[in-house]
Amino acid sequence: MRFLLRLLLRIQQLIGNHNQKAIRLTGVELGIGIGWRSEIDLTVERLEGVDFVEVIAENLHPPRLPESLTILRGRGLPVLPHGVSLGIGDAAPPSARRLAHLAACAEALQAPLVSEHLAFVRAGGMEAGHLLPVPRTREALDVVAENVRRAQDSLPVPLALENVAAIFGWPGDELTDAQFLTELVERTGVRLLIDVANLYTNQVNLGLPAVEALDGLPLESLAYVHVAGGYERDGIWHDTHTTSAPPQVLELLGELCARASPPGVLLEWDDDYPSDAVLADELGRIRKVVFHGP
Amino acid sequence: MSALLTIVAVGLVVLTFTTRSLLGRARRRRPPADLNGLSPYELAFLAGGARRAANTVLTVLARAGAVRVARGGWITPVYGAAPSPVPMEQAVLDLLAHSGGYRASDLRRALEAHPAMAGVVGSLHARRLLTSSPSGNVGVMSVVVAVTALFVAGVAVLRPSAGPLLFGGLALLAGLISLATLARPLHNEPTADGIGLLVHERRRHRSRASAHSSGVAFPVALYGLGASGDPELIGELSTSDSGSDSSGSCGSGSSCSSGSSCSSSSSSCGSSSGSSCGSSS
Repeated sequence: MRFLLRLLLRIQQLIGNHNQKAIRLTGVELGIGIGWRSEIDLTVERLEGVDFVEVIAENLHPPRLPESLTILRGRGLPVLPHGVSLGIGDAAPPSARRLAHLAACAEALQAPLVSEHLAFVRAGGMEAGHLLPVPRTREALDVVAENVRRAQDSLPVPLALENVAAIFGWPGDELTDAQFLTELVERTGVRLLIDVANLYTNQVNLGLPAVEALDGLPLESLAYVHVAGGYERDGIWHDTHTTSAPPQVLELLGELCARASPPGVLLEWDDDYPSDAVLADELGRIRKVVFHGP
Repeated sequence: MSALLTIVAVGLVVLTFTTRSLLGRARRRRPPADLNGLSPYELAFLAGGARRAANTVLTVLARAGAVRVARGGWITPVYGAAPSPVPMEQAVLDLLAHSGGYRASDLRRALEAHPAMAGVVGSLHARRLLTSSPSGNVGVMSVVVAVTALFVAGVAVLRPSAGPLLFGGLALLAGLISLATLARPLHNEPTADGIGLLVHERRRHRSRASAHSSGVAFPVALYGLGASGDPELIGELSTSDSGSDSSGSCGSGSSCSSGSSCSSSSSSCGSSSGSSCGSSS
């Protein structure tokens, strides 16, 4: 089955066809989810209305999964590995070891897909320690497309790439974020994880209109959506994942939902964890936007 | 003469046992206790000591959403939790705020040594619901033992005969055992009033519980964690004494978050002990 799915994707890449029906053959209806973190494992297990979770792949040891994830899997919840260190946007190909780890996570969790960031994280043996934006040039697109293909060949399930938040842009960009992602999808068939909080961050910090970006993105390739909160200081939006999503981010989610039906929407909360009740309210706010509009 | 000594020896046996009985009773029975307005944490200490009091406050705070219990018995503060006017509860919030997180077993230990717990104990002592070491009782019994020992020694040296030596020896043995028992520090155990209060509260709680459900504090205080009615919470709060690691996931100090890339070359939990993640971007 996996071979057939891969074959389908490859054919799709070759003929440059990314129509919605073909993409949906690999699609999974996920629902409303939350980022699983060990600090809130029991909370996530007990929250009502959690349809799927996402776990940071680098925090997993596939032969020995956390009990909580095993329990969630036992309940039939999809658990998606989410990588933060693959460096798909690096000049060098992604490391075989990191890809093997991501693949092992997907296998261990029986995940329907894995996700990573379209980010540049290391070069020449130096780690950036951040998810840096990729230069949006044609040359970079060639490199990233090749990196994505290598990753897809190593992974047992489809790969989704997330747009990142940035506080700077590289000089000499030739393409917009949407154009870059659209071409990447056309060339590779990679799926998209659209982080509306990151779109908002880029709007505030870089002046890139978020709704315009939504209009340009190939949303038929949407795998799922991230929602998160942050705060503004001195005119800079910090996408910290430590607060409730601001209304502007939820409005963007509404705009996205007006253009496409996202298979899943996931709340990210990474630190300063509030009470279970606050997290439940936050999921409720997201659910309301997804099903009833902003 | 031998008969007279035997009678004296029997008298010493009676004196020893009577003294033991009176002192033991006096040890548990103190002046009338103050039974009013006991907090759940005082009641918990009375019912199960410092551990029960600690488990009660942890359960109360967890159920109130003021602290978070994760698998492996890992307890962390809940961001935005309001401060508590109750010293025991605020003690837990302070400990977590300073450390960022505790295993349940370590948090219980820290709490047992906290001034808030001393406050609970002090209150129970002030209400005469807990015992303290009774040095006066030991003194009385020591006198009885000393007199008996002199008698036995005197008989053995001056007028050895079976009857007095037998009964005198018996009195001496009973006296020494009583002395050892009384000298054992009966510290922070419920007095007779304390035990009576517990019996009363349990009876009252059972009758109230049959009429309507009550909060979690008093059931856990009176009966222990099992009365919280939350099997997952019970499991996580009571299993971490073994010091086992948390479910194979990275501890909170070494995990990667989605807002940053993990910068160290290690990418799996098993080898990421030294990895730190960049700040969120």
